[in-house]
Amino acid sequence: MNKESRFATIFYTSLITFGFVLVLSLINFATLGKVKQNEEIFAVRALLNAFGIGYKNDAEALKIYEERVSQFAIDDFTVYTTTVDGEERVASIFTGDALWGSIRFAMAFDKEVERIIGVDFIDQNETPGLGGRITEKWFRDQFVNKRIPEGGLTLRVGGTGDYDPESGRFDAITGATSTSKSVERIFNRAIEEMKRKLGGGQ
Amino acid sequence: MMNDLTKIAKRNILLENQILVATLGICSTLAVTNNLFNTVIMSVGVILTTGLSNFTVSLLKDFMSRKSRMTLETLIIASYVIILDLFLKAYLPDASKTLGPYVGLIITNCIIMGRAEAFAQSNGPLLSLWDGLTAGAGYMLVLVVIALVREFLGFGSLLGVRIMPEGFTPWTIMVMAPSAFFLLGAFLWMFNAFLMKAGEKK
Repeated sequence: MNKESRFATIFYTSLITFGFVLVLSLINFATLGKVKQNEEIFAVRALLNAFGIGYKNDAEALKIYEERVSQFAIDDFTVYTTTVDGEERVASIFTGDALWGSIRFAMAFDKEVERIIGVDFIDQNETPGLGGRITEKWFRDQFVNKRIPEGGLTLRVGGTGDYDPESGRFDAITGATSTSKSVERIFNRAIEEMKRKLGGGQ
Repeated sequence: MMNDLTKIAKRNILLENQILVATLGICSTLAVTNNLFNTVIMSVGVILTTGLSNFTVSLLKDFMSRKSRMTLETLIIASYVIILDLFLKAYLPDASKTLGPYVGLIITNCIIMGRAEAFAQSNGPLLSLWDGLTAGAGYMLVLVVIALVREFLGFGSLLGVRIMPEGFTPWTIMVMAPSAFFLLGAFLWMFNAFLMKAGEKK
């Protein structure tokens, strides 16, 4: 068959396309379970990191999560609770829009929602090496035990990390001010939502 | 045969390096090179995709008409990138998270389509595979050198491990995309000057 003929063009193009789509579907199907499992592990790890609970590996993280973390729902909002050093802590998983796409993160608070206990990111689509650095420990550590001031957290541009728990502010990532501003906005929205749901807000 | 392989490797990695001579694949060179780890993962992705796409295009070239050729090449390249993305999501989830949207963007890397058109359409599958792998290796070589300079000066670290002393002031410009323009420009200049000098000696 002459490959340049109209029939051959349509026939071979359709055949090759079908072949590749079939292979992709099969690989997608084969990895679906594993990808979903990874997503769950990321959420569990993020919640434990936010609560400030340590673990050595994924298996231990899952075990600790099952033993120590419980959850309840207020409408469609899930609240995770645990006790660390005798103090009750609450957390939830939030989503917000940043510079390039949505960010999903776990944020833990004290029972009264007066302090952030910790934060960890589950999903983000910010520029790798720039906005994507929000997932780095030095950035996340700024929120450990942070007092929540009236009006929410504020962002400072030009610093290298604000680790004072009483300051009520955090430092932007150099070269990624837009992502940092988005983080300020969505974190404050998450704080408000948590307060509202737990009845501590207005 | 051995002679051919050496010739192709030498040409793709040095004499006709896709970035330094053909000036292809610049987008990702600017984007990912502020972090060595991201650069290595991205480059390995490009090496595999270029190699396998070349191999497949060469195998199927007798069934691709002139009219459908580029559409099918895009389909083949996109399929391999999706497979790579699924593989990372399933088996290297942390790397997948760090690279975020950049894995998908491998599809738009001009080097891959360039090699499929320039080499795979007129050579056998194994030689095409080798051509793709070595063209990718040439890409990796340039990216790694730029990433070494950018991460070292921009963060004072290499592969995330701190090298410079505490008092070191990071060169913020190195973290941002413009520094890659300067470095790549300087690199292109030095390399082409070297090639010209080598040419004169002959």
